[in-house]
Order: sequence, then C-alpha cells, then structure tokens
Amino acid sequence: MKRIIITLLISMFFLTACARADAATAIATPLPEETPILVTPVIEGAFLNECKNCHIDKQRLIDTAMPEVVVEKESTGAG
Amino acid sequence: MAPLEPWQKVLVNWDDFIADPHGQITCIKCHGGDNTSNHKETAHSGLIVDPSALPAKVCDSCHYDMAMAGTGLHVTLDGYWTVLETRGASAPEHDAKRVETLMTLFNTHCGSCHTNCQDCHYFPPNTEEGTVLLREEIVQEKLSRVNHLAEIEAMYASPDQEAMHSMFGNHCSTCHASCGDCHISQPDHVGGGFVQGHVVMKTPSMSQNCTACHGSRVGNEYLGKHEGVPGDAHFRLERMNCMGCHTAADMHSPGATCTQCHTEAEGIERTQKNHRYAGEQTPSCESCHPEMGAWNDTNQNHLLHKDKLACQVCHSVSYTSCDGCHVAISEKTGNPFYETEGDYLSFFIGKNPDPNYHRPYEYVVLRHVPASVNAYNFYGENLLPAFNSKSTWVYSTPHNVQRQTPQNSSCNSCHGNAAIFLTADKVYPNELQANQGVIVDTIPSRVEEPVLP
Repeated sequence: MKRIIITLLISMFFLTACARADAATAIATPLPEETPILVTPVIEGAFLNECKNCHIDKQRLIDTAMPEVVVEKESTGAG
Repeated sequence: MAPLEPWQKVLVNWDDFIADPHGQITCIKCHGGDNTSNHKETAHSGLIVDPSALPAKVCDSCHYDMAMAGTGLHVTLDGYWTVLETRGASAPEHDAKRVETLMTLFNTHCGSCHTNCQDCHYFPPNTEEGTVLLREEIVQEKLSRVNHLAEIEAMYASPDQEAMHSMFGNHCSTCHASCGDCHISQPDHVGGGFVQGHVVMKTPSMSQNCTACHGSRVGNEYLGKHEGVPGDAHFRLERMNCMGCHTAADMHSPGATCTQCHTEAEGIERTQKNHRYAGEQTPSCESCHPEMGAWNDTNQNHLLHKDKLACQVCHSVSYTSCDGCHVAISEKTGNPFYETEGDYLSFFIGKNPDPNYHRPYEYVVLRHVPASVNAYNFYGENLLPAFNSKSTWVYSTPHNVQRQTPQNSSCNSCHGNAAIFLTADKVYPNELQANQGVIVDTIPSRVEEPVLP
C-alpha cells in the first residue's frame, strides 16, 4: 500500500510538471521604456586648452608675437 | 603674394577647424607642447611646428591610403638626387637608397668578378700549406673589365659626399614639401602661415600653395604673366586651376611600379619615383584629349606627328630658361642664398634627351636649366665630376599651351625653320659636350604645303 501511495505521488509530481503553464506567466513583464542618454563626446583637454585660448585670440597673438626679423633677401634671379 | 602678419600666420579659425574631423584631435596630439600652460614659452616647450614633416609625420596614422605620399617627389626630392648623381655627385652614404645603389653597383661590377677565391687563385695540391698561385690570365681579363680606382671612388667618395650633403641640406632641401605645406600652410620659403586658419584643406590653394613654389616658371607661364606671351589656354578659356590636371592621385603616388602593368621584357625600367619625367605621364594630354592621334582624329597633323613630337612642340610658346646658378652661404648673414646669372624667354625644339616607353618622342621642347659645373664650388671643388653626363637643355613641359602657335601655323613654320631648333650655335661652347644628345644637327626639311579645300 505504502508503495502504491509513493508511486502515485511521484506520478502526480511529473504530471504536474507537464501541465500547461498559466498564460499570464508567459508574458514578459514590460520593462520601463528606455530613455536615450545624450552623451557629449569628451575631448581630452578640451576644457583646458590653452592652445585654443591663445590661437583664437588675435590681440593675444599680436601681444605675444616675437618681433619679426626682416631677413635681407640675398638670392637673386629666378629660383 | 603679400606676406602674412605674424599673428595671421598662426590665428586658428576655430569654428571651421572644430567642424572638421581634424578638429576632434587635441592640439598636443600632433604638435606636442603643453596645453595646460598659458605662458607661451612653457606651452611651446617641445613644440613640433610641422607634425606632418618627416620624421614626426602623423598623417599616415589615419591616412594610410595616402601613405605613399611619403615616397612622392614632393617629399623625397629624389628628382634632385637623380640629376645630381647623374652629374657625378654622391648622395649621403647613410641614405638607405644610396646603400642599395652601392650594393647594386657592387653586385653588377665587383661581384661579377670577385665570386670566389678559386676563380683567380690556384691552390696546388701536395704542396706546402699556404702555397697559392695566381691565374694570371684570368686576373688580367677581369682587370680589363673595370677601372677599379674610379669604381671605388664613385662608391665611397666621402669628402664630396659630405660637401654635397651640406649643399643639399642648405639649398635644395628648402623645396621639400610636407603634407601641411600643401594642405594647411603656405610653404616656409614664402613665409609660412595658415592658409585658412589651420583648416585642413582637401584641395590646396593654387596661389598660396602650388604656385608659391612653382611660380617663376610654371605659375608665370600658366597665368600669362610674361608680357606679350598669352597664358595657358586651359586657364584663359576654362579657368582651370592646377588640380584640373594634377589630381590628388597623381600628387600622392610616386607612380605604380612598372611591373604592375608590364613585363620586364618590355624594357620598362624607370618609375616616377626617381624623377618627375620618368614613368607614366601624369597627367598626359591624352588623359583629357583621348581623341588626339587616335584613329578617328580628323587632324592629319596629329596622325602624322603622333609619338614623334611631344604635344608641346606644336602647342606651347616661349617659356623661361635660366643660366648659371651658384649657391653659397652669406658671409654677412650666415644664410644660404643662390644667384642665377640670368633668365630669359626662349622656345627651342630639340632631341628628346631620354626617349622611353612613356615619352617616345624624337623631338621635344627644351628648357635651359641653370646647372653649372661649378655651381657648388662654395662647398668643394669638382663636386660634379660627370657634369657632361646630363644635358643643360632639358625635357620640358611649358605650361602655356595654345591651340594656335607660331610654329603650327603652317608646315613650313616649323619644317626648315632653324630659328626654333636647338642647333649647336645656340649652345654655350662649354656646354656643347653635355648637350650633344639634344642638339639638332639636321633641321627637318621644308615640305610642300597641302592645298586646303
């Protein structure tokens, strides 16, 4: 008798596993909609670019320019 | 071209520059220096003024398709060495190509005799060890093949080499062009400075880049700046700029190796990498005018003269020649300078100095270059010992092409007209030897003019 009960319990367990799943559980829970993240490209040194600060500043370039040495043209004739 | 003010030369047009992919690269990535300092001296510490110049060349790291630009004549100046070596000068010994040349020379000459000891020496058996006999007749035969002293001198030529290297560095090398010299700045010898505020120009400026270097001959001829001589028809009528004919592909490639298209049996040996008139004509007139001389060309003159005359023989007019260039270092300023004895307009048809597969013409127009046997005497005596190996009237392609010219107005405007041919009487007596290959001995005789319908 005991053996019959154990066999029935095991059979019920397997039959339950084969049962059709509840439809509600098959539908994936919708994820919250993704919001695109705007990524601003970060350029190395862009926030500390003294090269740019000087080379776009006409007056600063004039102030810091080395006095230009006028080189006497010594070559003559068609080059 | 008016020189730029110092500030103009280095003022960056930031908005346009940043809009270009090159603007996404930090300044110091190419130029070095310190972008955190607002003091000029510190910021410029370790500055690379022209990162596109060798050896710091940075362009190739992205423009690998243009990597061949590094071997183009604008960069290598190999055309100068080709001419200098033809006239007997020696390239620097540490130059890899020079070593290659020497090895070729060795293999061609020395190696053809000195193959192994037994060729010249006989080690008789059963004699005392170290007994060596000379195969006299073989040695004499081998010695007769070559002047050893001249060969060795040509191979090493150390003092001359050093002098020529100095000369080249002080004078010729100023014509070297980096990527930036065409695409960002004006060339140094016209003062430098950004053309468009450091914007990298895909197409160079004709006036601020091309004719800034190629001005005294090409630029003046093309633009018609010689009084009484019209500018080139391509400019006058079509307003074509340099890039209309000289494409980017031509500028960046030294020319495909000949064997990519031809077999060695065809005898095509030279590529454009050694001289601008070697290798394929880039461009050729036929690139845009393929009908010229073709089977369906209705112009009988093209059919008659095709491959016998370079196009410029009929279609160019007077162009600039120069005489007697000498270079030196100024005692006053210590700067290199040159002097030419004169320049003048002339038009002479002569023999093709170097007929080859791509330039088979019998007659071409010749320009006198200011080569002089003592041009480099400031640096040393007799630096061009084989001066007469190359003509001083050279193959030329004047940039003043016209449809109608004085010499093509009728058959006998050219035939029988000695005035337009380079005859011996028009060559300086001390250059007759050098030019014997291009002097026209017999003027093409007059012909009967065809009766036009």
